[in-house]
Amino acid sequence: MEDILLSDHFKNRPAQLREARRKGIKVIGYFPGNYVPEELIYAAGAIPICLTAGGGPKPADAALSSVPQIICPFARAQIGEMLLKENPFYNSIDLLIAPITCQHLKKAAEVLEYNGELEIFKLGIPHQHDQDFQLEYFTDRLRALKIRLQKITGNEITDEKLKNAIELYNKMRYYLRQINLKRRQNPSPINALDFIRLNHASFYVDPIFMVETLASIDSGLSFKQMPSASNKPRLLLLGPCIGSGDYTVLEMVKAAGGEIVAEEIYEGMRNYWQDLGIKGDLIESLARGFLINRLPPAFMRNSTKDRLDFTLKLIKDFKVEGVIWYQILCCETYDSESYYFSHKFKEQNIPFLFLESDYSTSATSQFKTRIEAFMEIVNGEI
Amino acid sequence: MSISDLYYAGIDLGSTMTKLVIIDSDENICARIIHHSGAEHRRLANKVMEEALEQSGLAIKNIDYVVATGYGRMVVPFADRQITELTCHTRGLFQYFPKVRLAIDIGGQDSKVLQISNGKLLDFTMNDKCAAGTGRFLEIIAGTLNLKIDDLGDLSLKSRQKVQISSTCTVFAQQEVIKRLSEGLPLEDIVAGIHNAIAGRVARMADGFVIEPDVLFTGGVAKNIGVVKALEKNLGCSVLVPAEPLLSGALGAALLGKKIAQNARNKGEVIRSVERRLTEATFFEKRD
Amino acid sequence: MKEFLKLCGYEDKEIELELPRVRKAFEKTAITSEDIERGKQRLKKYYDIELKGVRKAFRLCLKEFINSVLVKEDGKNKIIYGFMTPGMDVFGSVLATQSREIFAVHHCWAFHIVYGCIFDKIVPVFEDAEKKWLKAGLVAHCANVKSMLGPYALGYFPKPDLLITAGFLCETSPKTIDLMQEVYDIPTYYFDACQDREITEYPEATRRVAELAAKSARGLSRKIQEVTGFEIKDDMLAEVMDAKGRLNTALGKVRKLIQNSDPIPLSSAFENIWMCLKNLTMSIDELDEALEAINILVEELQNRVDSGTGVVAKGSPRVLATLPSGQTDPRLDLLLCETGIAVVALDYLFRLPYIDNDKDPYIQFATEILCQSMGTPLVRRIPLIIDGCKQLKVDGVLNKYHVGCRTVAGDALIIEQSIKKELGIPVLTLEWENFDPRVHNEELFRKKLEVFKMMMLKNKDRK
Repeated sequence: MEDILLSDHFKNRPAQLREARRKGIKVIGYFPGNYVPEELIYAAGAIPICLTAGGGPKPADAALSSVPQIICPFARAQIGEMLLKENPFYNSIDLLIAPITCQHLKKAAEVLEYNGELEIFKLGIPHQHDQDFQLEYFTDRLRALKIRLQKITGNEITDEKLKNAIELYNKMRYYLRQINLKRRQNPSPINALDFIRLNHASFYVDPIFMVETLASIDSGLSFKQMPSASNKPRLLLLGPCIGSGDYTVLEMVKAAGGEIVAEEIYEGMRNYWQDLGIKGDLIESLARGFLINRLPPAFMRNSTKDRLDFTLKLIKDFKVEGVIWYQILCCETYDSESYYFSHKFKEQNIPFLFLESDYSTSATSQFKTRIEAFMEIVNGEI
Repeated sequence: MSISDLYYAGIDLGSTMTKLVIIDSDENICARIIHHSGAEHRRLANKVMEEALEQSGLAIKNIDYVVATGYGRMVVPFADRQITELTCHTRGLFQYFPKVRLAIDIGGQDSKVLQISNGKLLDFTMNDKCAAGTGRFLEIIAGTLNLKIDDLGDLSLKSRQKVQISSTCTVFAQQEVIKRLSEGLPLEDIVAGIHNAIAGRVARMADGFVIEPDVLFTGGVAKNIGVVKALEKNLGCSVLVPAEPLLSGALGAALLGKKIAQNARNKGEVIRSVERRLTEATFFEKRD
Repeated sequence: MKEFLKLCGYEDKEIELELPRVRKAFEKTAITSEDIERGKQRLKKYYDIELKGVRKAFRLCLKEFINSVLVKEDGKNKIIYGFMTPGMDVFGSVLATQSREIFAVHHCWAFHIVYGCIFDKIVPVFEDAEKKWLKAGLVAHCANVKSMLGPYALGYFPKPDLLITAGFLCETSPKTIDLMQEVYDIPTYYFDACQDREITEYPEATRRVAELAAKSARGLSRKIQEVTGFEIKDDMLAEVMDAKGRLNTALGKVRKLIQNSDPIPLSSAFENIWMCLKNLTMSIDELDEALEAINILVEELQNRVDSGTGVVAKGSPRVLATLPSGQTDPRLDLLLCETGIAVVALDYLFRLPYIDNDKDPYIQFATEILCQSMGTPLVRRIPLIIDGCKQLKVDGVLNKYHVGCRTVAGDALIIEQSIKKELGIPVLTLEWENFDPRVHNEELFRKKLEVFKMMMLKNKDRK
């Protein structure tokens, strides 16, 4: 039921955005990576949209007129969508917030800035936070973002509005977390593809509607009658990002009888694994929440150990039997990390499958055999 | 029908060759077929099965379980189960080489490295979408040198000093070969250099794997003695080429089929509710 | 060996004195007599080794290589490697001047020259790194980072007490030292800033980011003190920065001579040597030696200019090349000379016209980094390059891009488009690797350069 409502809402969303813009409400897009606080956008009375289109070859190829192949297909897809102008969400953006995270999305922001068609705010992300001045810098940049948002929307971001926005997004985080935690059960009451689609939907749809939908899904799952424990291989998915539309691997794993019970990717659990504080200086609280109190992505300094420890804990808590590493081509930090992680997993006899995509069909042609062989390894029955 | 009258078939539908093996319950091979794969896989599967039955003097109803493997495993209409070639290959090799830890397979389109322990597949790597490190690479280079692919191996053995081919990319390697030719370097040294390049590339895929005897080398390229020698050098370990490198996938499939069927039977499960039939060989699937 | 050292600018007396150390260092790094023979040939083929200034510059590079390899034998008890860290040369020179126990170096600079340019032996080192996490293939890890991991894994350089890198332009290098910390248990420090300047914010934003970088650099000083017990004082930095400034001014004279002469008196292969020279860990005294070498060279080049001697024919098309010259491989530069293309400047030397008068040495060198062409975001880098082309009146741009580097490779196509649009001069965009000789494809490059030259000549005629 919820999925029908959600999918209807999703379908109508571009029309809603058009209507909102006609009324003067601004639509603010931002790149993923877990560093842009949606609550700040929402508190400005604007509509936040997280731009995560990826998976198809067309936008990624279109960007090859601006950047070479070494820029990853996801970052290229973001440039490509802007060039092609075929995606209604990308076409609705009044301001793009580009967090300066990895070199790929940084370059996408620079290319779009050079093209000059879109207003861009570059949000500097210190890649470490063990010294005070780094948090101070990020806090300062969030204050600058606040000013820019106030300017573009004409609305003041009061503390009260911001507090309400944080509370709303905390609710969304809460339900996403609750639903995700249910995946510890065997069998999981919700499959990975549905869960990731749900998470992707949360980037685009109205947050109040999303919270209601998630609450209802969560309670539905609590009462869902589940069959007895299955012997499907329980898998963890790791990697930089799954674009919305990049579902080939998820579908193949499902078809091969595997069950992904957790995933650690951009805009995944990192974002909803903990709530944000609403005490004290709220901008500083946002800065602290987004920069410090969450698992760092692989491109952050000194992130490897924390990330490995977190992953091993996930493996334990979610009773994971095998790890699928799915990365996009040319993603240098994740690629380096995959080497280290695979060795660490090997020490603990955790099977590991490495997959790499450039969003072309030729890249995925071998995936089926690899995934099925991997299931045979994890399953171990033959 | 008693257990001893049961037979098991494994069919390995590869992109270039189709292989079929039938074994009896004592794991003796009763039939072995190797055939070129064409475009019509479904029809071919039936045809090869018919041939195998004829060779072994068996009827289709004698076949207790059929496992299909290989690239075309999904289009074998009479198969009970599909298992990837990686797992089947592992099982087939284990039958004759119980100590095997590492197996390397270089075929026409892809190359694989398998890490094996006690007959079980532990880990594997496959080449990325690039043709370097596959039989296709050798084919292209042979074409450039105007040589037959089957002659490369023996020719390279005459080499006194192999040429360094620094590029692992097929296109660049081809340019390098042309350049070396124009420099007047002996053909055998160039070919030896190419063998070293392909072996180096594939050996790199085994980085992080346990490399100890028996290292087995299969696939079409395993027939090239030059690559075998180069692989030994790159791995720092002796390399063995099984007598029938093409059949291990099909044999493994048959052996796994036997195990699955017997396990099911021991648990009292029904293996198949409908009697197996070989549907008539037509291009379009016929509904019974 | 003696002949080799002579080619590298060693005096007879010094050779006698240094020979055992050189032998030892070469032995440790697997440099054989065969390599030395090849090295001699290469020095003669690719570099104007008859110039005394050139030989002296090579001497300083070789010396640093040997010092880096024998650092333990030399009795240094604290070792710091700063990889791809702007400003590391300043820290290194302060420590070289002030301390006998501490050795702080960006060891890859001299390694590239010696192992790559001279001996052509660097590929196996990369291959070693590729067996670890910097794998070969389409992912295109930067070979520069491989030249940090490879020699360390091979045991050429000892384990440092601190490993530093910067993340201004790069994620590969920080991730690599992160993994080296995990795998080899080496303490690390990251010298960082945020590249979030927007075009509307220049130059104010440069100050904002420079302050961040300066704080990060001060943190580095504290870290060095924590590891070595040595306190780097601001006046020590200022002293070294002055000496480096003098060297830079002298190098500026070399570059001016090249820019203003037809034919150009020296090939772009040397830009790599100058870049290295500027980044060596030299004490104040050694910096004076470097200065002397360059001053000699200026005279020698002036003689060439006066006599009309050049490395290309007079009237050859003048081009701007992007990025530094090949750091391990001089073949492209020779090819350019053979084709008759005069590289008169490289864009990495362009600098934003922004001066910060703050006396704080940390602000000073942070500002320098952030104002360099490669250190500034695309939207500001483009006008910088275009202005440079106009000032130098070049006939074309050799837009080679380092395929292992997301930052600079990501700029390449836009650079080509904007130059063609704004200036209407030919641009040759060349997929390339600054550090990896394997990318050199003589036939292909020659063909492309010949066409490029023809286009420039035609374009000139039209005008």
